Amino acid sequence: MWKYVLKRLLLLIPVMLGTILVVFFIMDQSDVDPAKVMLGDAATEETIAQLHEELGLDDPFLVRYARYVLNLIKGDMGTSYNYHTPVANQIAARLPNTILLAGTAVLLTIIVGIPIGVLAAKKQYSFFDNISMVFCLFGAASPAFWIGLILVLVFSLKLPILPASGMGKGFINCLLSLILPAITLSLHGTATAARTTRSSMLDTIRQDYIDTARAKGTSEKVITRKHMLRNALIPVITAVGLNFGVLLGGSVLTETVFAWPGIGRYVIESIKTQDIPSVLGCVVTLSVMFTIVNVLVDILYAFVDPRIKAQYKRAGRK
Amino acid sequence: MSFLSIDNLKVDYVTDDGIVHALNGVSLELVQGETLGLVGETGAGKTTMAKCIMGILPKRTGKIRSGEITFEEKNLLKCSEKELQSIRGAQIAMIFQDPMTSLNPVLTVGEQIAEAVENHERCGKARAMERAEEMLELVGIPAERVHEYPHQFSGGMKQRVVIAIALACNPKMLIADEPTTALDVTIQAQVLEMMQSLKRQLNTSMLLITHDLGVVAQNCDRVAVIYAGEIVEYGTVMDVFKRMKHPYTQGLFSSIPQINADVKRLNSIPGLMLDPTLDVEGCRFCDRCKYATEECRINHPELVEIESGHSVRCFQKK
Amino acid sequence: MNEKQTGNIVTNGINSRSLWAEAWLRFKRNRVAVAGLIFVAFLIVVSIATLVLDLVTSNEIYNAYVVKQNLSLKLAPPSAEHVFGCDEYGRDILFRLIWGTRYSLFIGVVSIAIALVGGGILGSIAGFYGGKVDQMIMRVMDVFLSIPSMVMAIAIVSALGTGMTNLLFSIAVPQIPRLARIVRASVMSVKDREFVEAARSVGAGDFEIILKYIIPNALSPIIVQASLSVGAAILSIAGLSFLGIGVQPPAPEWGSILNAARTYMRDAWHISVIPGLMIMITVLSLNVAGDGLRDALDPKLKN
Repeated sequence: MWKYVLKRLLLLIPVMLGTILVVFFIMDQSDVDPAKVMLGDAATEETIAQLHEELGLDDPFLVRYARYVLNLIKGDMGTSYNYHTPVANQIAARLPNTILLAGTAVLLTIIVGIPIGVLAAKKQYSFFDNISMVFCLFGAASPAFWIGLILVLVFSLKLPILPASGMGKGFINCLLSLILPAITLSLHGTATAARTTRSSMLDTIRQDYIDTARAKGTSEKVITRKHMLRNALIPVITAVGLNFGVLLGGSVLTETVFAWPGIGRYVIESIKTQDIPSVLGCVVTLSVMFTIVNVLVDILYAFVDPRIKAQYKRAGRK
Repeated sequence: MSFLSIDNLKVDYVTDDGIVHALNGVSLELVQGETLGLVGETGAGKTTMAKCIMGILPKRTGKIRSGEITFEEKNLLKCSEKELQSIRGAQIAMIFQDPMTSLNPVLTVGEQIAEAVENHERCGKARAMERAEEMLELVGIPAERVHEYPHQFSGGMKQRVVIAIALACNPKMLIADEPTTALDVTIQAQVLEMMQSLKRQLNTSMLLITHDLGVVAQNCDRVAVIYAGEIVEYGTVMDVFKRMKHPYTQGLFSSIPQINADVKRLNSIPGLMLDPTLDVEGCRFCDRCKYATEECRINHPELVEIESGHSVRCFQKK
Repeated sequence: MNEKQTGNIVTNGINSRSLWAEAWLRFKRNRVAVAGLIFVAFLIVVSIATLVLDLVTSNEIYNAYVVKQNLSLKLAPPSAEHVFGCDEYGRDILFRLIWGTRYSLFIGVVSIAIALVGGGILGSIAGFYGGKVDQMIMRVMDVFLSIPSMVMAIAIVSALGTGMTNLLFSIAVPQIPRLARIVRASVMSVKDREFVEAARSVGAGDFEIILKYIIPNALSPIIVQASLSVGAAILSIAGLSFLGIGVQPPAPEWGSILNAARTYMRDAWHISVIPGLMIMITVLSLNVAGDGLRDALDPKLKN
């Protein structure tokens, strides 16, 4: 089993290198000349050429890519054109806030979405089932940033009970300021999780082994918890994992709506100031986060589903 | 003396495509210590009957219209869910048709056997696990495989596990729903032999559902032939095998290929089983019966005892 | 699809009409899906109508009602004259919504069409040839999949700028791997069927086989996924415009109306509520129509 985990983690390296390559390639298409931006108005033809030489800006693409990766390993993401400080420091200051927001949203997705899906499936075609499926349709179709705006309109402007923007200082204020953005960000995922859980539960309910469990005299509660959920949640894990990508993309929008001091807001700010190293750093960070989450989901999957676990064991023996 | 008796049981399935009459007034008795064979083709209502006795009909679609199922002087259809739970597995246990799907893929076989024990006996987890190991040994699987998952077992082995689950609490009665249909012929014999010897050891009564007359001949004391949700013939194995009266039973026997007879084509009963959504006035078999008369089409025959312990539902064979 | 239908395809080319006719019958029974489809059709008619109007009147209406500022009506609340009120420059929101329809629909449909071509080519090559080629293409797709699509769109727009082509591209590229996967799976599921063998045995080339025999038979899951992706694309474009890096003002794209709305939320709730509702209803219609299409084409999948 640990061999499997190790293998997955090792596989992370080529995927991350590939991801960074793609992102680096995209950002390389920008026609902003870093030397011009860095030198500002004082730039002359010669100073620009000199800086190009110094920074190796005219080197072939792959050389610059390799240099970027090597620097990245050392924790160097370049210097922000805007702040004139290392991009890595800017990101390090904002990353915890993004993780806090995204983590809370994932948590909400799980503790709201899964129970809704389970209840809806257990009471298929009931009023609750219909209502929650309508909620899911609307949740999946609403632009997250718009839901954010509406929440601000209702809970900050009309009934001023929650802060409309920023991140509060101190535990209580921070928590209060987290509520609206986390709900906004989690909505899409909650809808997806509820829908996936419902259809996967409905599939499980029909399985023969549920009858076997009933025939042993197992109570309905235990059947739901032990027999149905453990099977039904396997595809839900995948869905929540994949949805984390949507969630990270959504964090850019949500952080902008709520002025949340995270990476998403930083990337938009950097785009507006043409601060390419910062944009690159943010996109790389978000992508790497998603890649890591994907691998964690894969590993979790193997722990939950004995079929995969055993598959690997058998392969390992050979 | 009978310890399980079914009286005038009528069951419908309410589906989107209409009401399916699955059982149309089934009456049946099982003598303690004996094996009753229930024979009939697919869709005749065999599994529905088994599920009714267990009280595990699908709640949303399965509707019991009338009837009584008396088990040791208790009407199972009037029992609360709690009472039923204490009977299921402990007093009456069931073996399902397809061993491939009747075990939960994410629980070890040990956990699944132990669950049956824990449901009914106030003993610790450790004791239940010990019991699971004993049961595995009893059905001929080495006890050390108790921690393996279903997918690591072959079909025949899985069916042994299913049997171990059913017998874990020494039930007084065992319902076996086509326990060998999904298995290879060689494995079939092994499994049946094992079931017989376990049944003798534990003095269990058995309802053996099958469409294989050979299985009935070898294992049963009495036989009930079911057609379109009705018992059409009932008697001892001798009665039914030697002096079959109902045209349908005769058809069943003549469709068995005979090894010493030189036939080009297998005999089959012409036509298809009655559409179970229809309400019919006359005999349910008359459309396929070569002896059918006007009377058969208008009136519905009752199950009539033609000799001691041998009953037939047919006007022509009184 | 049953054997009879696949048999038909071998004998007379593309006679899978009965499958589509059956699917249409099933689709018609699904009232929600039909309602969704009708609304989408209505939006298409609206966007074509505005395009034609602009052409005929040489942008007269567009200039007079959609982009012309009228500061006396700044942030006017909904009234009989301006049903949905006016925005921060006094422009009628209803007019802007109507004229904005084409952006969402056009970008949604065209970007998914681009993604479909890209994903279709990659997916069918991977699925058809299998082996090393498949491995290579799918590993590259895996890398693309590990960049969140909105994040990739943002990266592309920030590097290339916010022109229409770049926008289309930024929405399309992140969708390619998903569509490629689906195309690959469908192609793999049909490539070993008898009618492909039959075509091969009469000497059809790989390209011909993929285009004439495999794609038409692998079509239904692809169409379903594509129709559901259009909704996702519309949400993306609205998101980009809301961030100010999508369709640029004064074009009345729905997301960019919302961008301006943020500043005036305290004084004029209508600017933020109504365009968002529009986006939601549009995406909702596309999703229910797509779901209905899926259930109609493959009734087994329905839960």
